[in-house]
Amino acid sequence: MTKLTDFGQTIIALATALGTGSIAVVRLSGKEARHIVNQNFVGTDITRAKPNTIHYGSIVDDRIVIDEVLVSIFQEPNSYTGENVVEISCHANPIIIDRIISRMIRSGASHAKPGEFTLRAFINGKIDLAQAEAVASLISAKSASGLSQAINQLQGGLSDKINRLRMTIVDLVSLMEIDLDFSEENIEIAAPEKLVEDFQDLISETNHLIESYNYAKLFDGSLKIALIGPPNAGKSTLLNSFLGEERAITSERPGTTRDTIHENILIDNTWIKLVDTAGLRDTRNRLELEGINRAHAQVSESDLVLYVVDLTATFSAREKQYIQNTLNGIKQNIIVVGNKIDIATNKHTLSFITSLGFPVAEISARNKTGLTQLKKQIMDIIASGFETFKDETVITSLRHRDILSRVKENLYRAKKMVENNTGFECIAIDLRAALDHLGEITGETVADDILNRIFSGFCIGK
Amino acid sequence: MFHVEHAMSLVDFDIVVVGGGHAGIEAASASARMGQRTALITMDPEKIGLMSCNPAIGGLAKGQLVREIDALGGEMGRIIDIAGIHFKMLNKSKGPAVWSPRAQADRKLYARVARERLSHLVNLKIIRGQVNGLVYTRDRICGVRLDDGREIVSSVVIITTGTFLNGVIHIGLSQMRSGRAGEKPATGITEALIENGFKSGRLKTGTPPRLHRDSIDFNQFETQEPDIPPKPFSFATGEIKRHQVNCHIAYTNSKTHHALQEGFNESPLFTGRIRATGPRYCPSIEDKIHRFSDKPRHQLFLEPEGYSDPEIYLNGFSTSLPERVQIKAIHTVRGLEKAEIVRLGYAVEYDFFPPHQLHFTLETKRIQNLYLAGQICGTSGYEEAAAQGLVAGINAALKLRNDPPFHLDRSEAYIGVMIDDLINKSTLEPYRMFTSRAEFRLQLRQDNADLRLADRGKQLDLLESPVYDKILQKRQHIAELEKIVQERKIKPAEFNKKYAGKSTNIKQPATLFNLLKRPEVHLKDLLYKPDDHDFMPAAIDEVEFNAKYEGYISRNRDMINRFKQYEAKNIPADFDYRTIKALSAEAIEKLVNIRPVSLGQASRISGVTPADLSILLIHLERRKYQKSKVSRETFSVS
Repeated sequence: MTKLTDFGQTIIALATALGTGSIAVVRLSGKEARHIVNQNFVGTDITRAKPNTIHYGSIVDDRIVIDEVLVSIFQEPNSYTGENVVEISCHANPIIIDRIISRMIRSGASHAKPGEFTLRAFINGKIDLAQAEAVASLISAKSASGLSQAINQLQGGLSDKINRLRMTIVDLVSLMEIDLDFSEENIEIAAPEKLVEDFQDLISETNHLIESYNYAKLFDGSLKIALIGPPNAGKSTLLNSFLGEERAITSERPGTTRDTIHENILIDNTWIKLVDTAGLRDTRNRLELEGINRAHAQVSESDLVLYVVDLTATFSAREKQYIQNTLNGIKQNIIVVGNKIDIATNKHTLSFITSLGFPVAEISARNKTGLTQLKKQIMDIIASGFETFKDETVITSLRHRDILSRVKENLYRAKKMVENNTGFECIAIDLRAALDHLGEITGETVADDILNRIFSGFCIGK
Repeated sequence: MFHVEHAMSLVDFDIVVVGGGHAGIEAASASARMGQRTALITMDPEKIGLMSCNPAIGGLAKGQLVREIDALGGEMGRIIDIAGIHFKMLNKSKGPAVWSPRAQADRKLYARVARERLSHLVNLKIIRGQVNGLVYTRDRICGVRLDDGREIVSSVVIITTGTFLNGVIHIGLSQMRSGRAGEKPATGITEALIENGFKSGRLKTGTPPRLHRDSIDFNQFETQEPDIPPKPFSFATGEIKRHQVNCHIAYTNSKTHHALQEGFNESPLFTGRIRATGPRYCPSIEDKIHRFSDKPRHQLFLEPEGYSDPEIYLNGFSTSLPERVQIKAIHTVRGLEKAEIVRLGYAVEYDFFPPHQLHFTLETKRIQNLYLAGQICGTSGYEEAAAQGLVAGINAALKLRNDPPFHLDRSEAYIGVMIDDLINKSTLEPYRMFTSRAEFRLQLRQDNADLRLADRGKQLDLLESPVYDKILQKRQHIAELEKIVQERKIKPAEFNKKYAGKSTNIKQPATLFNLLKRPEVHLKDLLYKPDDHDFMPAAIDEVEFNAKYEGYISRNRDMINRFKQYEAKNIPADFDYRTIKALSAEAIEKLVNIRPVSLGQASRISGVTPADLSILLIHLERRKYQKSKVSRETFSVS
């Protein structure tokens, strides 16, 4: 059965765009909006607050404060959607946003589909048709066509995994339905122990999928910056400056960082993975070469490359050529970072790197000068690459995670039922519910699939 | 003896039913009992109610259909209770939600009982004749034409011709035009409908050989005993006193499979002679062997066709292979080495009309007052046919009385599931009922069909009062028992003593309801007060089921509520799908063809995607919003 919008459910989603600004707004719409927020709010009693008021307080999860927030109350019909609306203004930190949304979902909200607020607004007569139509196809098209490209890229072939999960469940349901509808044929059904095992595998698989929708990882996995450059250019120092700790090993001798070092840093409220690599140079040293290869591998997986150069060093013509070739061979965006600007008396290297044709930053990693400017350059480039990273991507991902949690519940219940020897006709209810939920992601219907599976795989007939 | 009409003049009827099979019987009976002057036209009145294939009624999911037909006041349950010789409740090893009654009949007795019951109906005339044409004015039916030239005028025509339309029988490479072994096919009806723009298709169904009882060595087989005492299908039947017989189980072996394979190149299926589609789930034995060649043996059931009937029906051996192949293969089966084949297995190919061309009342969309029911709609099975016949007969009568139509939705009955499936999905193969088709299977049980449908049967005047009163009493008992089960407590001493070793001890007094959650505890054992003896066993079973399955039932109930919400979102009959650009082309085509009455029905049409449904919802809501705006504006102006 398809679910369009279920007015019995209170929906929740991030209402502001990602990656910009320091404040995020999480919006709830539906009958229970006030009640759900109130359960997790310390401040005033939201359920008694007057409409069109703003309240300061904290969102808590079991008495642990997630964030200090401002809560805006809108009473039906005078709100964006025409229903009761509560908007939570919080800090635009992805982890905070995620925690707030998850907490509200656990209190009874369910994650909105892309555009669902707008759809409700239209149905309640708040906005016009054209906009609503566009939004409606968004809600279902995203489901029907499977995971969008952006998400697929981000999450690495998740649609395949979801489809496999789905097919495994279809197989299980089919087995059960055969047992119920064709018990007169002698078809061997799996033994209960094997079924329990199968369910356990499915639950683990679903857990993995849920993990991969981890909000923080949306940034963790995709926004990656590789620090590369000649040995002893100051890459590790730069990394440490960003981090504010002495994590990477720095020493006077070139070639110290043999392994790649990953660190997550927060730039402008956005989590970015920085990868420090071994110094690139023309070498025959086997160990060094290994490190260099790994560096190139990191580059190919990155969104942005910082090519760090020591401004006090001088490069031979051959070395300059090597640098130029390396840079030309990189597909990603590059910022050439001239380090040690504070002690570079000679301007030769600086004019060399400026002539390479890439954006340049002048910094001192040790003294932390020029870093603010560098961060801004980084964010500008990344923001322009944010094209694929729209709000709906994130919303769809969170919604998928919500859906997968329900699937996990269904599977867990089914497993318990098998352990208790409950009849297949009861277990099938949960399994079909799980398939219905998955169908909201993949857009497929349940009933025909099961019959098809039964007939293609089994010998039936009398 | 019954009255057969031979008059050559025009005869006036309200409703004419064409075909005396299971659908025809229900349609004619319902129509007559609802006060309509009814005629049942059949090629051979002696063959009314004759089972073409398996001499059995009911089975998995089909038994549920029969109970529903019975609760509505239909014929099938009553007939089989009289003619049944081997009753069995199937799936007894599983939960009650999937139990299905089944009974084998004495085939000739079944037909005789059917004819007798019809002969008692005052408003029904049985006419011997073959219909080969339909009579219309504009787009409304007004009667039928017989091949002897007679025209019969009526307000409604219900066609229930089963497998007879342009029927062709195949045995091996030989074919013969026939609707059923030894009988002529029906011609002219398909052509008349196609002329009017109806789409038709071809389907096939197979039937196994019949063997002579005396040539079989029954000692070689496993015996299958019936349930003792036999449980009746009908809520109206008291006790079944008729003598019950055993069935037997045989197995094919590799020699059988080889013998059959030798005939594949002469098989109508394999040589492509039959282009029609057969059911995936009742394949011929050649299908089974071809598709599942690694299975060493297949099960066969030997079913007697009657007490004194020497024929044995070889269930599981549906085939249309040539004669010598059938004979050779059967003789390889242990116990059948000397079996005499009284009738060969064959395949029958016939016309059908895809049922999306029908309303949920089974009236056709193109021609008013013309109804189709049964195998002609692409279903397989007597029970499916009977249910449709009943629905068509009821709706035809209601229409003539200008009463609102009769409709069962997917949460009320398997009949509802079937009709909804038929009118919304494209059938490529014969439709058969399975419990897995019903999303609310837990609620649609064979034991509660009476509670669900008897009210409707009474309202329609099809269910007689004494039977209805019994059902009301059952309801009454259930209400009382529910109260007892929630309120009465058992003391630890009593329970622990009674259930020592069978169930864990309780420390506090517990309500019966809570104790019933344990699988080993049964309500009938907990009712020890003197008044408790009077409770009907059926009521006790129902209350016990509700207690044990309470969690699932309440979850199902939520699903049913959501389902009903979408069923209630009506789509106006004049809704113009073509003006909505955002709908997919396929959806528009399907929606225009089928014209669903609700958003819920629209969601079940194959080809309509979730995106399409969203768009539809928007436009429906917009229309509603605009209409209310207009009425508000007009009101304020005036």
